[in-house]
Amino acid sequence: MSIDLESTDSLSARLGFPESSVEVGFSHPGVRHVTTAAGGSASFLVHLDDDRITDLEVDIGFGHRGFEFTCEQGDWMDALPHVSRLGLASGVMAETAYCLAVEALAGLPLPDRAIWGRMLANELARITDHAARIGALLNAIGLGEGALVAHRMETLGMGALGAATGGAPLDGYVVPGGVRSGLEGALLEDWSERRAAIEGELVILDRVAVTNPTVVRRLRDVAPISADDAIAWGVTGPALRAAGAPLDLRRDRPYLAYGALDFDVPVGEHGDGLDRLLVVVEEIRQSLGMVDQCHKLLTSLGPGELRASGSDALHFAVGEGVASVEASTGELGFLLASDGGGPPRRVRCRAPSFYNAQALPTMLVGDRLDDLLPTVALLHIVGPECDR
Amino acid sequence: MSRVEPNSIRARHRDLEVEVAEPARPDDELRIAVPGPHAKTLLTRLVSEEETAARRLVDLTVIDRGPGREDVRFEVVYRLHSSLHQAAFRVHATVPAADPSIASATALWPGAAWPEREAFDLFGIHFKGHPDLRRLLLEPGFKGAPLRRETERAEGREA
Repeated sequence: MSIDLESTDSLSARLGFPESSVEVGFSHPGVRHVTTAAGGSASFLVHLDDDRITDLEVDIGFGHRGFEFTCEQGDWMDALPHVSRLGLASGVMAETAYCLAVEALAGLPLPDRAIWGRMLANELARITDHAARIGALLNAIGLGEGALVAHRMETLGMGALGAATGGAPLDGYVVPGGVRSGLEGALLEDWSERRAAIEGELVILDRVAVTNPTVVRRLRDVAPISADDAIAWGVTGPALRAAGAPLDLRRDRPYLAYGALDFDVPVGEHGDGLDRLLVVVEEIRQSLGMVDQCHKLLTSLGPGELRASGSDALHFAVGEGVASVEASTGELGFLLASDGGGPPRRVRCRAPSFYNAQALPTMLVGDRLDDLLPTVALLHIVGPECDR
Repeated sequence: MSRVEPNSIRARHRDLEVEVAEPARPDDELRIAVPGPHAKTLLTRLVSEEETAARRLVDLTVIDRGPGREDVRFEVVYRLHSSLHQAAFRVHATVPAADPSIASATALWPGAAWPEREAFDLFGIHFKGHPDLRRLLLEPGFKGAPLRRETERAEGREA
């Protein structure tokens, strides 16, 4: 068999098999490794020419557990434990969105301590979740030491989140009408130490990841998406902002008391992997500043009411309640429909990972097979939230 | 922030038989009810007209109002957002139980593909013109539409 060395066709084409395809996931150890701690569950059918991706089919649903169905079976409160489990650290954000929607439906005002406590927990969760995705990215690239740094940061964030919410994650900190526990725990006293530790890891992470030539080479111009495409596909969160669309619900449609916080919304230019990483790292810094502000205000507020009176006996109007929060992966929203009394008519979760995963073919066609896992990791497809 | 007045929506889309609810708070989503056959026209206008410029499809889902309301049993819900006006809209398109179908929104937003597949999967709603309408979350051979309310909840729970 002779190979035409002058040809511009791919090597596979010259060898007589111009197209091949390979299945990645859902039990692929790499996929399990790089998607979230909760375990990713997407499967990819990758069509290749050499190692260039010519087409990509994303198959989800392996982790589908009838979340919305389950939430519609019981009372409004019965859904809370399921809502927390839409993510690990990001579960707090899902709780916040669900409770805001319930409160919109019940017309429940929030006490100040609950508002600021929720924001503090949300920002700590964002730091933790962003650290997790950077760790997954570095693992996917093969930089184990960098992943360890990110993992340390994730652990520190999780510890601070635990101290702020009074327990482990997934314990249902956010409840309709307020929050379950105050900040009597450790966080108010030792936040400055915890903050210094997280910042220390961030400095190391800057060296091992953000400015690391290997990382830069693996991410620059990889899996790009334009702002228009990102909006058309429903992409939100850091991936959308990296593409140049400055959409952040905390600033654009402020919920809780985000309008009173001072923060910047980092925006990228190229929408490629590198921009996504830079946006995520900058968001960690911004979140640290927001936690500072919440911490300061909570300290000055002192002890006080954590839940609105009447939170235990909620009365619902006939109608719909909606709320969206800027979660770490993007816009996480709930649409609740009520018939008045009784169980919910409808509980719908707008999951950012679901929409983000849909845009993967647009990002990845033309890139290399090797770029698939880093892109999935950095986009942070949270399995439980994507499949519900 | 609903900087788009409900009255202007009512006036502009009167021909589509829209019903616009008065928002309880000024920053609430504007709820627009429309008969299913007019939904695509309304969505196209909301996206393309400068007054609304709702370029972003936030979410697409279905509410089953249950048996006994056969003509308006299903509502296909589109949540839209306009960065230009910082306004949010929620379009409820009613679909009868006898013919649970509606025009696909994939021509307006390619990103409507998965939520429409999900709605087909879980509610059995047919989206006409969808490029690839098949189950998404459940396995291909699955029978039925699990989020439909074939029996009302209270009965179902006691039984």
